[in-house]
Amino acid sequence: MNFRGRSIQKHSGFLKTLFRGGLILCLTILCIKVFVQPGHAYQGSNFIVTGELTDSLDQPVKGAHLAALISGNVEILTETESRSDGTWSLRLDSIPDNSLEIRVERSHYISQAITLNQTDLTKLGDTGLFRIEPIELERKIDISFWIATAIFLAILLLIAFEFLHSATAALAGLSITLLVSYIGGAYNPSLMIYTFEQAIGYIDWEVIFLLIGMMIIIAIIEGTGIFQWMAFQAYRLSRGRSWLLVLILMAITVFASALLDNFTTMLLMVPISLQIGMALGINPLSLIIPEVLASNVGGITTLVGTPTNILIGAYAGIGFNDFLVNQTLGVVFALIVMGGYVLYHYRKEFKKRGGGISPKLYAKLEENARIENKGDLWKSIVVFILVFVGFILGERVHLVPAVSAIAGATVLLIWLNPDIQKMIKAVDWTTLVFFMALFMVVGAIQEVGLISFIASWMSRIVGENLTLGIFLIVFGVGTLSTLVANIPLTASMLPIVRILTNSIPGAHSLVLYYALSMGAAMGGNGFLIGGEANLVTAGITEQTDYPISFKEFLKVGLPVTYLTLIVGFIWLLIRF
Amino acid sequence: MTTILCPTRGGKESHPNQDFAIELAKERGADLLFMYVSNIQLISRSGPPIVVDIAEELDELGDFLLLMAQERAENFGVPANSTVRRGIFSKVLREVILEKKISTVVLGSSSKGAGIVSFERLQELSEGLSKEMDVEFFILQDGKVVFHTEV
Repeated sequence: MNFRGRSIQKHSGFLKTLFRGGLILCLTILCIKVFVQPGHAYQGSNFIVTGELTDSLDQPVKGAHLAALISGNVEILTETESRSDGTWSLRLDSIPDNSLEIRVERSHYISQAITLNQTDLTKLGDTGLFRIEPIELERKIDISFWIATAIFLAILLLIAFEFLHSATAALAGLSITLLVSYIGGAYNPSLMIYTFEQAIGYIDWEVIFLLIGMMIIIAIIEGTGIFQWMAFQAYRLSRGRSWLLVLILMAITVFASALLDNFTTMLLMVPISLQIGMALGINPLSLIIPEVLASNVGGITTLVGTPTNILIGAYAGIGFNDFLVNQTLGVVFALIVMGGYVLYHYRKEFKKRGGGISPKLYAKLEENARIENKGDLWKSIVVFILVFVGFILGERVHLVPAVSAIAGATVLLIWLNPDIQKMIKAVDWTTLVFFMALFMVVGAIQEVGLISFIASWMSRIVGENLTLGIFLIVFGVGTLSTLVANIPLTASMLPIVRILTNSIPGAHSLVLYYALSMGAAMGGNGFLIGGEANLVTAGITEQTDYPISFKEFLKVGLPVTYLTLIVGFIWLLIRF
Repeated sequence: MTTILCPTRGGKESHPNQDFAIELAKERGADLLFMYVSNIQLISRSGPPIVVDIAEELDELGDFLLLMAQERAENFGVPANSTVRRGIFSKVLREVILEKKISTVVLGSSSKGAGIVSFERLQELSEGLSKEMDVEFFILQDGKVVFHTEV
């Protein structure tokens, strides 16, 4: 036997000894565990006490702190936090001889203590699991409620009266909320509204990324001049018949609004419409105001047509197909009624016959409406169609729309290779910051219970009457939307609508979310200040001899608003 | 040869001002220059930052409006030039007066109170520029001269 062979023999012997020793040790431990009894009455594997936390509206309460203590003692045996569905589980190594107390604490709720008596503990010991009846936590209205509410109202007013830009107002509100929480909360726990981590948890990142993707796609498409070209074709086709022209322009605006956002749609349509109106010898506002009214309504047919639909879709899980199937026909009916009213209101204007324009002016109009880059246009259309195919078919594989939008934007950036600096600028970071800050601010009023308070009040009024619920949301939100910016309004209504959807029989069809979509969008037609598309239109026309006055807009906008809300309401009753 | 500058925003309400400027140019044998000034800051304050190249859209709109004004002038036998500018009206006005060696400016003010610049502001601006740059100013309302600085 050589040296190596002697070494192997020595090592294998050691390993055998080690193995035998380990085996004996394991068996010993096993015996101790099975046969040796400790001093306690019960012993063995974990015991689980479980339950569920809800609020007065039967909504789950997440993030509550639960601790198990022996009654009369201060030492915590075990603790946990409730999950997003309100459920919780406490694991105990052993069962105490005396009763067990479960303490439940959550900011903005009144703390509770549940006692498990001997009978309960016996059941726990026998089965290893004890389920407590659902615990309903009551809201605590303290100073943080009033502070968060005041901050939210202040933001709405600052935006409504344009004292601050919407993003600045939302950021200011968020900053104050967090400063009060951290600095005030250090001295008085009642001032703790929420932590920064809790605030961040309210941001819906699907919305943010969907917006980023669509902004890049829109920036590329709008640069092609396709919508201005379509407006010019409408002018040619109408052959001087203003009534026909306005209907075609409204249809183009609806189509554009369904794909782009209303703000961009009007930025594209207003300058060319001004020129067309002057070429026809009519007041261009008779074309432009109907366009903006149509853009506010047309956008609600698709998920991406309005920012409010993006919010609603992401929150309620309503997909692209759902909006198309459930809203399109209702919107078409609303637009028919709108078209009829517009033709009536501007009948004198449309009767005018202008003398036509010179060949020079016609050529100028045609030049201003040219398609800038046909190659880019075709590529943009192909990618745009693929993105929408992604929206439609993606639902089968649970592909969120944000992924389709980001992928489409990336393909366009690579394929067209545009100026990347311009594309970065095209992403409206201010709006994204506004959305993020807004989500967090709305989260604050959810934390302190304002949302629950409003939902509870609405629930008492509506009861189990779904028709009344739809009516309240369509007309209530529609009326508020005439005065208040519809994005913060929609964001704050979403949790309320969720509560009502869960409590009203028949509402599981998500009809209340569609009602919110219609109310928020159609209400934007009421006043000039009702929507950003209205304001940007006025901003452009102000730079010509055709400024839009508050009164002028109101004369058309307010009747159209309520006519379309009525049609929308009736449609929802029929559809659902 | 002297040059008359007529800032205009197009439309029927501007026609009396344009007619006055055309008539004046014909009378004095002066050159006529129509100007359109756009200011996208006025649009961007109303909502999210603009991602569309609205400045270019407004330039094209301005071109169209000024072409209409030029055609009207040509109908009266007065040739006219045009210029489209961007920025704050008072600053642009000063720049163009210097650049184009303007001798007379014809401004219009809406009697209904509409418009970006009020009559009082226009009057103040006219008085200031008239003294500083030795330029004649006319302000019209509904086609009638309501203010005039002589040099």
